[in-house]
Amino acid sequence: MKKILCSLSVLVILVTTFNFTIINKRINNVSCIVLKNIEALSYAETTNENCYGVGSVDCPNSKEKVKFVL
Amino acid sequence: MLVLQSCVGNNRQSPEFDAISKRISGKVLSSSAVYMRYPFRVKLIDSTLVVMDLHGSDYYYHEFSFPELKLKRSFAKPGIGPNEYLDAENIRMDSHGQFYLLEANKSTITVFDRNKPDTTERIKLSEKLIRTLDFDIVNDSTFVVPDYTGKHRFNLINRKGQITRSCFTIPGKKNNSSNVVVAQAWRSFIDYNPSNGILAMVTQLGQVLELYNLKKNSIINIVYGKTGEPEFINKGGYASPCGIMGYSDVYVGKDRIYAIFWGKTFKDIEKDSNSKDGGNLLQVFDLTGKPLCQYILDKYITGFTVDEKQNKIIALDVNGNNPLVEYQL
Repeated sequence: MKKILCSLSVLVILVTTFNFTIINKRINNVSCIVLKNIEALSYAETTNENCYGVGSVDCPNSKEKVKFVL
Repeated sequence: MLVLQSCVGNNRQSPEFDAISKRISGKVLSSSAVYMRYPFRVKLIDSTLVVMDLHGSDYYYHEFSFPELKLKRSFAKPGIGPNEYLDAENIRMDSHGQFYLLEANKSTITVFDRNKPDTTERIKLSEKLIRTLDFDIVNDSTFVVPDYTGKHRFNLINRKGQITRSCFTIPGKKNNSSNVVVAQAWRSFIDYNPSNGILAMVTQLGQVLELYNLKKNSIINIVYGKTGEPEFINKGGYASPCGIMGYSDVYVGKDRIYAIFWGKTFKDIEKDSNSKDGGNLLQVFDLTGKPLCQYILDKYITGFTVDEKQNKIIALDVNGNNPLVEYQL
């Protein structure tokens, strides 16, 4: 009985680790477009709020120079 | 409405710098104490050195004696008044001692004599141009300007700001976005050398160097780096970059072209908003776009100028308190 429980525990740990690794890999490989679309949906149409920081990128809405544009 | 466009890739041959890279350390130059928020452009002519502060709070430009680096004056006050400036994009100096300042938000090039700052000429750029973000002097009567219309790669304009010639098209792959959106993504910094007639353009949001011969009205070469064309999505009528920060300055010399490359992904910049601004890869090409050498700098710089006689560059470290740094090549 102990052996079975021990084997099951090891199996659960292995499966969890494997799934976590796969999901994490998928998140890291999500394309630029998908991420940008998620951001776009979350930011809705508030276009003036899409430019961040101080930098040299030309913000298309405010015409200011910013660090990045979402 | 959200319009999607795939991030473009490319299969073109990339210039290989890995085997010809060299690490060099800079010497910080002490100059008169002037606070600069975001030094972005530096120009040197004879004994005059001018630094442009992209986010200047009191003034956009600071003129120093060279090589002493003593502050001679600061000019172009930010503001909405008649003699004030909404923004600063770039400065050029000619051999007659005149300064030319580009102000994109007013679509104007302001000209004044270095020794008589009150004598100004304002060149209002043609209404056919949309948001001109860089320029250079071709000769006494002509400037070269890129813009956001996207119909042509760049235009030549006269001293009245009117277009005299439109040249070439944006070299990227065809896509469904409007010309304006593509032009935003292909926003480039330029430099022109009148002695050899070469115009170089480098993309801010990708790794592309374009070389044109303005005297022959021809394309010399389009050099695509490893990360290739600017990547972007069309977000309701504007280009949202999703690739890398590419080049931020370029210089066309007598027989070499120099460009500073960042190579940072926007993903990483968004993750770490306190990351250093600037690039530490100074790439050197011959006049046909063949890679010659890549210097790995010990500091991250935004803009630079080249002293070809001394074979050194004067660069701007936006992250330090003393922005001027000299590198012996």
